[in-house]
Amino acid sequence: MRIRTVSTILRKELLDTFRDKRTLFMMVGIPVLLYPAMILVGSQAMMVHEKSMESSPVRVCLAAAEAGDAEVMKSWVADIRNVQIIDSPNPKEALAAGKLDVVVVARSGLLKTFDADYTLPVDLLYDKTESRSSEAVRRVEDALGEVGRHELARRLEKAVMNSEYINPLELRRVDLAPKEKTSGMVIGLVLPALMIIVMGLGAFYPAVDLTAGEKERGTFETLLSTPATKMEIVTGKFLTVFSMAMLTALLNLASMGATFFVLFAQISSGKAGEFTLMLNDPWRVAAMVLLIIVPLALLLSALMMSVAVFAKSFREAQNYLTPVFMMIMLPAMLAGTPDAKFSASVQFIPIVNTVLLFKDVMTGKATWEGVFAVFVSTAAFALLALVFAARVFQREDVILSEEPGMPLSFRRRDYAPRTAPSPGFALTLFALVMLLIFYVGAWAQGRSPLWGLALTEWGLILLPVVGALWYARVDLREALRLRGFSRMQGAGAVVLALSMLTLIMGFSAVHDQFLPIPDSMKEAFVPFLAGTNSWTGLIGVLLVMALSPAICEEALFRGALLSGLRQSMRPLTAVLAVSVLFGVFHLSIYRFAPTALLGLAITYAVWRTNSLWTGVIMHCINNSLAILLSVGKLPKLLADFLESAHGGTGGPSTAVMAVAFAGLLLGVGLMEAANRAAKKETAPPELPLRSGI
Amino acid sequence: MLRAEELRKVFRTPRAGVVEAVRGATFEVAAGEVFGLLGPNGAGKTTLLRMLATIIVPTSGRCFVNGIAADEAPDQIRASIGFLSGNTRLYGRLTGREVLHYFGRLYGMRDRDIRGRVDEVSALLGMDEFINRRCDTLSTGQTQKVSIARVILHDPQVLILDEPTLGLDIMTSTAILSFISDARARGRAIIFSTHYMSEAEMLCDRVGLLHQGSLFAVDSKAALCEQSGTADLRAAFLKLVEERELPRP
Repeated sequence: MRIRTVSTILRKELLDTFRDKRTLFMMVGIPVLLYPAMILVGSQAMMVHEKSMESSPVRVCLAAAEAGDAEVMKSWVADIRNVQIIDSPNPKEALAAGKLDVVVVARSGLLKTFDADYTLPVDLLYDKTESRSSEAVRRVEDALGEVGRHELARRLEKAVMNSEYINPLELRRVDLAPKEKTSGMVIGLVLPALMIIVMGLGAFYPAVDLTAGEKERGTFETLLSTPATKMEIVTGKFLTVFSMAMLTALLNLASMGATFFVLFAQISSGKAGEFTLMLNDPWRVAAMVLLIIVPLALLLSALMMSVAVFAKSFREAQNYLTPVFMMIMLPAMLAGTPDAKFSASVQFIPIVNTVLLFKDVMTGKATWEGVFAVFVSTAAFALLALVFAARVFQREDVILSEEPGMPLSFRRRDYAPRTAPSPGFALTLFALVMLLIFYVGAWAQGRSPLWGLALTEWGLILLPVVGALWYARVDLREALRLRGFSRMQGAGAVVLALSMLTLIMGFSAVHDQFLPIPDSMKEAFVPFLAGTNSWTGLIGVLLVMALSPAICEEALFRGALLSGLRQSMRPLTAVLAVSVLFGVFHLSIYRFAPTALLGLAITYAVWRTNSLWTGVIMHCINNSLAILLSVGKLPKLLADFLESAHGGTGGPSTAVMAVAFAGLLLGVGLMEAANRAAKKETAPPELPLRSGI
Repeated sequence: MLRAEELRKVFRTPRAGVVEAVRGATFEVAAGEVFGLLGPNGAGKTTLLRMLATIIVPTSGRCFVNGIAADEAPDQIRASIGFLSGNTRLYGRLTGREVLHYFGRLYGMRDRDIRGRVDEVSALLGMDEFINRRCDTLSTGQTQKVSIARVILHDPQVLILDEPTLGLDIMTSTAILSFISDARARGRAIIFSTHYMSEAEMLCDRVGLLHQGSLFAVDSKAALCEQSGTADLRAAFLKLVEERELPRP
């Protein structure tokens, strides 16, 4: 690799990028302008809102139980600023119509209660959904509370009682958190996730522009005709993307800092210093932040570039990067929740570790050991991603692909019939299904777990997949691999499913130690299994939770996605990618690894057998056994075997794991043997698909 | 100077399945010779030229420049080749001068040499008035001139030109054709593909006829006309393709 060539490419790409207004705006414009503007406008709006709340009249209707009481009650609320006392024949209706803010209902007469040293029950009717009403009820409550306290003092005095008599304890909270911590906490929740998103955007545009953009503009071949090697080209381009990601990140940090400084100064002029206090050791914080963001920028840049290069156009690249962005956002948001903490078990999970460590840096708790661990692990992942990117660049079918993607039209006749969806189309489909599940599916399952799940599987997964493929004139039989399979392949699939389930049980025992599943997540399954006491109920649950996912999810993952990604990826890469997406699909960091592992076994089987049905069988076996095990309906022998795989407190049993592993090998062996047998019989001599170099 | 031996390229596409784009092409181009590659759209011209330019790797077969095998030292080969095709476009956000400077550096030229050479080439191709403008503001002809300047900047021994006159006005295409014959006079080996039989007629010392991936005739135009019993290259080409398509006895 020649340094001069790499630096030539880097300099040219930077110049080119800085001349691109779109890229420049996303990188410099977003962090420098939009971001502080957003926060400032937000805080201004809040202040304006609060102001208007205070100045708007509080419309109160007093409903007394006895005639004459109303006058007394009027005096109680008279001190509220801007109060308007309104008489209404039907106060509830007036409140609902927005003509009143609060109705004060005295449920008894004053004479018999308040004046006679008893308790007067008072209802304050308001509309919680109206901020004006909520604000009014707060103020009425304050005023009446004052009346109560005043009356209490009077009664105590009358009874010749010390007011301390009724206050045996005086409680006071004293916050000992250092100021740097409190202000850091607020920022620590928002900043890390935003940091990653903004940095992702910073890497996103150059990554797309330098790969797919260059292909789209037809300049890639010009570059390839020079003596610059592919490795030099990748390195130069990668360094450009990395520089831009870093630049965006630093601009973002600076802009964040400035914005928060202004914000604090505005909200409470006295507290402006508090924010600067946060950085009582600015150099340490700066060094830590730098050590964290450098490998992160490396990782994001390499990741985005290696995905974007598969696309043929800017638009297509955006489709490809949507799931990548989701994969980045999910852990970033999760780690942004207040309870998530940096610990030894998460320090090697990319993105998550960065966000959590960032939080610690902001609250002054981070240690150099933590920073080092995150640096090393993120850098290692970045290196992997970079190696991947470099390998992708070696592939001429990717670099020079001329196969047009799906047309951008929505008319069916514009689509040419084809045997598989394009990768971009498949990924868009995946994103669409994810959105549908996120919005519609969650709502439906909230209303009725089992019916909601059934609707999700058939209506939100299978229907869109089949519908979209049909509309784009993709041959369903080919793309979804609706083909038979041999007896040997079927046996392989069954063995593989059983051994994988056992292995995953063992794996999750280890997984639990690093990432214990919260109880709330375990309980989330309870309503689904409610009806399993009766045989009919159990069959219903199995139909919805085992058979339906087996059919519908397989059509999406091992059907559309596998066929789509195979268009631009090698078989093993496509299998891996589908497995990862299958993990992401379960929308939970706790279920990611186990489901991705399961996905790996199933995707492998479907790839090897070229039959979706093997995947359906495996998926169905896995889900059925898991359900039967958790409701205790599994034959004792099998249940004991699986339980010992998980091993309870003692960890997984080695013997069981060995059996499972042997099963895995047997399953793979059966598949491969079946393939060899099939090839001997029918397959024509296959042409070499790609050159050897 | 340039030698291709049994070059073959197989692609796999989702739509058409496995396609053999070039089916074993063997030919040679000597220094000071213009070799024309003729064939209809989709005949495999671009694929063949891409293999020669080491942009893509042949499925089988080899090519040599000055006896050096392309698969052994592709970088070295690329340094002695100038490659131009419809897919080698220019960076729109850079000026012509910046583009040339960039490629000069990628070809390993020294900065001082690049400056002198850019001025020289610019004068040669009459680019002075637009060389400092951004490429996305140039006309098709102007862009093609910058592209030609890029190809000859490092003074390569072999020029591979894929339809260099496509879509150009008569002035520019004449300039490019005369540039090609100049390069021949200076001992360069030139291989160029074209649709225009008249260009081939005028310039080429020898031609290769490519049809459905097969390079089925390589000879001087006189020999080709004689073989097919026709008067000009166009008729010879049509006749020979027709003969190929007839079922063999």
